Amino acid sequence: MCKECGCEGGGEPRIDNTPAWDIKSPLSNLFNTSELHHHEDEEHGHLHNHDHHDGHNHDSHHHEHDTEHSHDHEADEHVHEHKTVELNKPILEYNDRIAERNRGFFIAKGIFVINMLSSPGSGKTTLVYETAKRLSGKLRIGVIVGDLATQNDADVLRKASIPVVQINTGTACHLDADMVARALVKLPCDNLDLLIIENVGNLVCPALFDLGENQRVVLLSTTEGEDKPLKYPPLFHTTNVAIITKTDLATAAGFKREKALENLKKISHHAVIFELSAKTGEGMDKWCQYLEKERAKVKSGGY
Amino acid sequence: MTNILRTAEETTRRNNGSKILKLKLRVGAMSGVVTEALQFAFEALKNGTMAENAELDIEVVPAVCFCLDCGSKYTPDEIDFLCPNCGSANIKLKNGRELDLISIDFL
Repeated sequence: MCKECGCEGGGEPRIDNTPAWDIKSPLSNLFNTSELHHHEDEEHGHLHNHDHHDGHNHDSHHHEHDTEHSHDHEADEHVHEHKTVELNKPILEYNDRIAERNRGFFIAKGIFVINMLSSPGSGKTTLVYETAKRLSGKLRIGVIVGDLATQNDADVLRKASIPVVQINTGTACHLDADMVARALVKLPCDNLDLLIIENVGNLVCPALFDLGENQRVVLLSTTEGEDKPLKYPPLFHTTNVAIITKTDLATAAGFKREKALENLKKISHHAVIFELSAKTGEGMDKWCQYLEKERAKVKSGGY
Repeated sequence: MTNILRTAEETTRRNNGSKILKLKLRVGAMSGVVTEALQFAFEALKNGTMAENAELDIEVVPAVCFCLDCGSKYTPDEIDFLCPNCGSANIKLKNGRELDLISIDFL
């Protein structure tokens, strides 16, 4: 639960145990538009004029100042009136801007980037690990992994001999574009073909945050039930790839494959679907070939 | 919500206001935001801010899909996005992903 997406909470994200950089509040830039300044000037004049209905006249009011002080309104600031400022701004505009910056960076570096999302325990880390092992020598992979706390996932993934940056989000239930931008500094981006961003295990809030990725990949494990896409439409609707994981456990879990595919088609109709087991290797070749193919597209300017 | 409050306070301060009366938000049905959670967070966080006594006004925008095959415009069933007219999956979500701060009323 976190403070950004409606839930209470807080805490600064930490990247690899290093305190996050002390950056300026995003909000100080966000609505600092010239229109607002313009508004402010108008309002000054307005307030000033209104302040004289109580019988004061301009000269007597300002008698203690120099006469040329016709523009000094500070004494009038206690007079307030109902005012409305129209903003009509996306609340996540700041994140979207940073995400676009990330995206430009990725394109320039020729890196194919996926944002991997699922509930906790759907097998993201195992899939990333096995993917990295299989693609070793074919694609140079880097990983950014987000969790509320611990370095556990990073420790596991480093065993696949790939660079990994762990982001500890504190209490935030998702990664945002700025956290990714800060983590990128720690990765050898000149020597990467594929960047896998393993998001915090959560099917709700991460759906809101563009990280600058080329594709979203959502995992649905056979042990979770086939109705997950119906329960979390915002995330499943925005995904480019849906992967049914832990196919080796499908029978034991009573997983209804046809139903799952039907549900995915209803919500994630445009998504490419894979079925695999990172543990047994079933379906892994197809998935890895897909990643190679998509990475080639980035290299040839296809994104 | 912290973001929204901070923005509202900064905007109010910049316009020489000191007391926020109302915040208007626009939230799409497919934005992933639960309005009740937003309301809850607002109540929890507003104390001690300029919006202490403010009201949160949330305008919910229903999802609207557009079918690229037959041109139908429709509000999708919560769990089925396919075109009700032709059954196509070749659709675009036109509205429903909004998450905007519309306006701030203050004194």
